[in-house]
Amino acid sequence: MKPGKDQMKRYKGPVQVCIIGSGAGGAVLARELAHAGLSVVVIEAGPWLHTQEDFYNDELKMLDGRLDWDDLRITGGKDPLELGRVNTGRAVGGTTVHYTAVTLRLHEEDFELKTREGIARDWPVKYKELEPYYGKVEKYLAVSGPLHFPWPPFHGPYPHPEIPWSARDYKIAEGMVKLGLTPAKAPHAIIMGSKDGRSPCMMYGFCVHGCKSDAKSSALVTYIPDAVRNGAEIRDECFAVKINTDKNGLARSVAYYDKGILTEQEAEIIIVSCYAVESPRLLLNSASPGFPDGLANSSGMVGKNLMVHLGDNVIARFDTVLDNWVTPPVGIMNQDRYSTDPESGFVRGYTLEAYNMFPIEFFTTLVTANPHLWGPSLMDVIDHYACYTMLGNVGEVLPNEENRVTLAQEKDRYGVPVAKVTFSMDENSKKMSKESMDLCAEILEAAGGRHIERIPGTIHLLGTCRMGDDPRTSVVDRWCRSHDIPNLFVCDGSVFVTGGAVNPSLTIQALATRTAEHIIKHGKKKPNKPL
Amino acid sequence: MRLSRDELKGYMKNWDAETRDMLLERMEKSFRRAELEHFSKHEAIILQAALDRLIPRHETENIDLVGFLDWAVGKPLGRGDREEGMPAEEEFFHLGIRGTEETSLKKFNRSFAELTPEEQDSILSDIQQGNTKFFIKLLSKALIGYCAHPLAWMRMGFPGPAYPEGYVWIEQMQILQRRKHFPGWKTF
Repeated sequence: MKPGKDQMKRYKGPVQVCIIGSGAGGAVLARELAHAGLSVVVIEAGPWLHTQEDFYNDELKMLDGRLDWDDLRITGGKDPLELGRVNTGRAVGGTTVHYTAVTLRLHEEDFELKTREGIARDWPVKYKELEPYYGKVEKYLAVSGPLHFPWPPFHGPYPHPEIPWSARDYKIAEGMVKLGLTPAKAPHAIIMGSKDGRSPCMMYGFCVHGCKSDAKSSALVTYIPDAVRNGAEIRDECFAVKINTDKNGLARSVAYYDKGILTEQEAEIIIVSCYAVESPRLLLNSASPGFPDGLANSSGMVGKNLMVHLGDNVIARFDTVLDNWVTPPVGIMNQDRYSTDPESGFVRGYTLEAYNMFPIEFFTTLVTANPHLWGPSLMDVIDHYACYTMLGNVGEVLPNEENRVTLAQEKDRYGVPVAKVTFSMDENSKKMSKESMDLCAEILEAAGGRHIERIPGTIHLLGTCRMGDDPRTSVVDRWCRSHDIPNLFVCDGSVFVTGGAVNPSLTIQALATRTAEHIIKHGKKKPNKPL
Repeated sequence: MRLSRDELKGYMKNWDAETRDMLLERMEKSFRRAELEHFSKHEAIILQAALDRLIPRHETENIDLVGFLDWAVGKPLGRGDREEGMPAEEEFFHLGIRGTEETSLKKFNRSFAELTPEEQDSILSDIQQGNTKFFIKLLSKALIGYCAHPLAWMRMGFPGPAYPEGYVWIEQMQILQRRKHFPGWKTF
């Protein structure tokens, strides 16, 4: 699938576009821009893996640092975040290499919370503007989803038929129906038929440890090879440390370590797509006399408003074997509680998703949240592992300036300050977390589940370089172009204004497609004043 | 658990050669260590005693978790985050083990390894309440090792790597039928 590195085009000297990061944002940009004939170089910190040769169907083997960002990061705040497999990646293809491939769209209301409910801020983009790009990405990734999707804004049909229901899906659906909730299979960027030489899903279930059968449409097997075919160059294991600016205040080049050697790549346009921790870290670390507070940071908003999603799970034991690990991790879902319910005592809502975890993740998260489980009570869970299933949420956590990414005292192996990630959960999210876990427990009980345990947690990282029309309160404009530096873009999960309550990758990919189209249309012309 | 080495080998037949070799090498090198790299002999004895209470294994589950911890300590295993003000992992383990021993000496006037199982449990309960962060670190890091061992998978009923044949039995009836073809799966 992967075009050989020897066939890849190599650029010497300045190029038109240099993209830092090759994940959901960067890979899409690389493919779209290269497709339009621009010269594109992608700088990626992680290795370029071959799905069939380098991936193993094994959890511990895949924790060896080839997929995850395992460099030091300092965490703080009242509820320090866990930064691992659930929210951060490092490899060609970025976090999409180990994402669950759930491709849900944000709802219309997510883009205008301020107008509709007086909370947080509106996005400068509306759903209608993003809709065609959602459709384009779904078609490109050949999303498998239900014929009729019950919740707005998109009711299907999806390009491919939905992934088959597994035993646990039927069980949990039974519980949902008993409580009057609608179950539906989540749409996935996983192919159910052969496509471009990739085989259909084999139900290995190891999606989050690297899909060995190429069925999961991660950027590694879709956008990246397509970008290379169209003339983009991917430089893997290259670590960007600084963006240099010229005397006119434009971004001039990216300084990076290529296997330990400091190198520089000049480009007309530089795009930062390193996700919500590393993007602000790179901008802050690029401070210079002209930009003492870091690049694109005249608003002081770089690094602020870090958002996560609630990623709570509730486990239950059934009296039959469920083999929960079969089929991709996310199964059936429900969005009946997506919007604000005036009776609930909190604002906004959550998506419910049936989930599976392989033993290492299952038991480490279980005991981290429930340290009273040890000795015989732990072994009792271990003996019944095959009878357990889990139902969890993706809940909206609203932006808060106190939750932020800053630079720590500690330095990495290149002498660059590492990121410090400060996070405290607010009351609204705590209430939502409790209510949604209660509902999950009720559903599981209605389905016949017993021995219920709760595993609160968080997933995804968003919102540290938010977009907006006002340069005083946002980092990038509606096209993901920084307000301060006309040829510097930030395009990844960090531009989110609010996070919604769905897995963010599809929205990142849609935004990147739209940004790429804008760059192609307008070249490096100075932008018009925001509308 | 009733599982002979031959049975395990039969079980491994479903995997491709590469996966099998990787797992055999893991069982050989990541769990059993001729010489400990990070822990002293004294620390290893305390760890052993604590882990036998935390993750009590059947005598046939020959999984050397202390050896695994020695291999794993300091390795990020997917996570590089460290809470502000916390020591690096290796140091954290040394401090935690020392704390365990001190608690034991204070409470029972004997080394942790020499206590009765009930006394050890009471110390571990104290640590779970008092030094929760270390308790979770120790338990979860050891569980990574336990859950990565094919013998533990047999106990859980987890089939391990799906590659290359894949799982085809995704519905209830198929699961039950499939299990019939794997004697040893649910017989312990």
